[in-house]
Amino acid sequence: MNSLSKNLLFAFLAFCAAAARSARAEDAPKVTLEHIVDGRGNRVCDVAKAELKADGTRRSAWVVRGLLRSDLMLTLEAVGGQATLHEIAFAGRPSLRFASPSPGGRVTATSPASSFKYFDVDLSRRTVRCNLTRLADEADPDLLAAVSEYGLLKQGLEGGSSYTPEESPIVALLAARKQAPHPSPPIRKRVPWTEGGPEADELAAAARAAVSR
Amino acid sequence: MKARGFVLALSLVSAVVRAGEPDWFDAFRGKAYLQGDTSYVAREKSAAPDSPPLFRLRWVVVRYGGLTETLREFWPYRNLLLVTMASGTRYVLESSFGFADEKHLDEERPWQRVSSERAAFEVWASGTAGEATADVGPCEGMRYQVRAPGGTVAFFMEDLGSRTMRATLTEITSATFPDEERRHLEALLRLSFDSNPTLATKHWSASLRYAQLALVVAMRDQVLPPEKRTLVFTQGPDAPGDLAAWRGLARLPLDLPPFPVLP
Repeated sequence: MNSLSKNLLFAFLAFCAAAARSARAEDAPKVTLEHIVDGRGNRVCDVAKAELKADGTRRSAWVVRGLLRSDLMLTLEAVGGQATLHEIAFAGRPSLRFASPSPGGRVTATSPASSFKYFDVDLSRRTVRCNLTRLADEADPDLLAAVSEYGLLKQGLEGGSSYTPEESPIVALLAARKQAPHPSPPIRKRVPWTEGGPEADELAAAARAAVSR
Repeated sequence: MKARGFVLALSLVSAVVRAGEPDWFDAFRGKAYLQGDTSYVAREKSAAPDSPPLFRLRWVVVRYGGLTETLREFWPYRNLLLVTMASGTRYVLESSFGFADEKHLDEERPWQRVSSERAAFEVWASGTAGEATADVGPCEGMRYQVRAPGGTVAFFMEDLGSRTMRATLTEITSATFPDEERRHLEALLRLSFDSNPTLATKHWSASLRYAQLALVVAMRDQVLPPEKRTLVFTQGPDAPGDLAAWRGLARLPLDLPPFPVLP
């Protein structure tokens, strides 16, 4: 390779690196904040949702602050609309991960201690329910309680019965617990959090950090 | 040297990992008796009676004393099918019931075992049927645990045919037994049970068919409908003889006097 070629190659690589850095800066996570309040407008918990899209990969992180006086974290990484990796963690403790190669594919649930593979069509079966609750307990003994609390909160929200892809671990763990719906769930409302302030900044930073991991 | 060190380290890790697991044979202790011992040969239904057998079977039932004499009918048992393929490769299929502490039925009890010279696929049972109700956890009730070098899984019998369990069991069995051994075990599932030799006891499980059922979890996807089972077995021409050759693979006791006739 002559020196001109080398210089051209070096210039090209430098350009690519700069472009990648620039793309990363442009793709700073988009964060939305909201309060969840009760029927009288009292704050129940706060939610930060951060999203990042780059190179065919979508990453999102939700931080639900104040649920059982702590943070429930939900993260999702979706590659090209096929493979997904979900994580759920409570109070900064070890997470439970759900990896799926494609929609309807075999899901691998992994705790820090063990793993179990299943198909979503079998979620209502005791074998899957038993193994998922065991994994959740291995990750964090309080995780299932936090999931139940989140499920109750969703029931109280208008249109709460529909879950988004980010909430997929919640759906799986609620199915594992097979908890009967609350007959009269307390009313909850979403209120956009636009006024800002140190609390908002802190929550947004937590979601941003989670999505950028 | 490096390879040897690696093997030693792997053995140590394996021993540590397995240290917490129950030992199948711990549930079968005390004075043992031989209740049944019969030899058979298996051939295709269409084969001539004097054609060489596809494999030889030896059906053995071992009973273990320990409960009171009046409960002799219910003494723990090992219902074993000792298989020798035409190539000489051997397998032990076992559907057994060991000592169970009635006050601790949640503890695991041995149920089914399929072993070759190199690996064993075990199924353990725990809990009792009928205890699962709406207000108890999803892991309550009669449940089973697979333990094999290829993996472990806890399951409920009603889910054995589910997509999840079939994929999991195929994965575990494939990682436990090499291709040739799986082919041999598949052949054993072709046995037809138009007749089912059974011991004269109140135990419904004291039959040859029950010993062969040890394969239904390990080889779930290969179980055939009755019309596709094309192998028949007939009693072998020779007396069963000494069990010494099976002592190691089947972990049989040295001394096996005949099981006393039931009153």
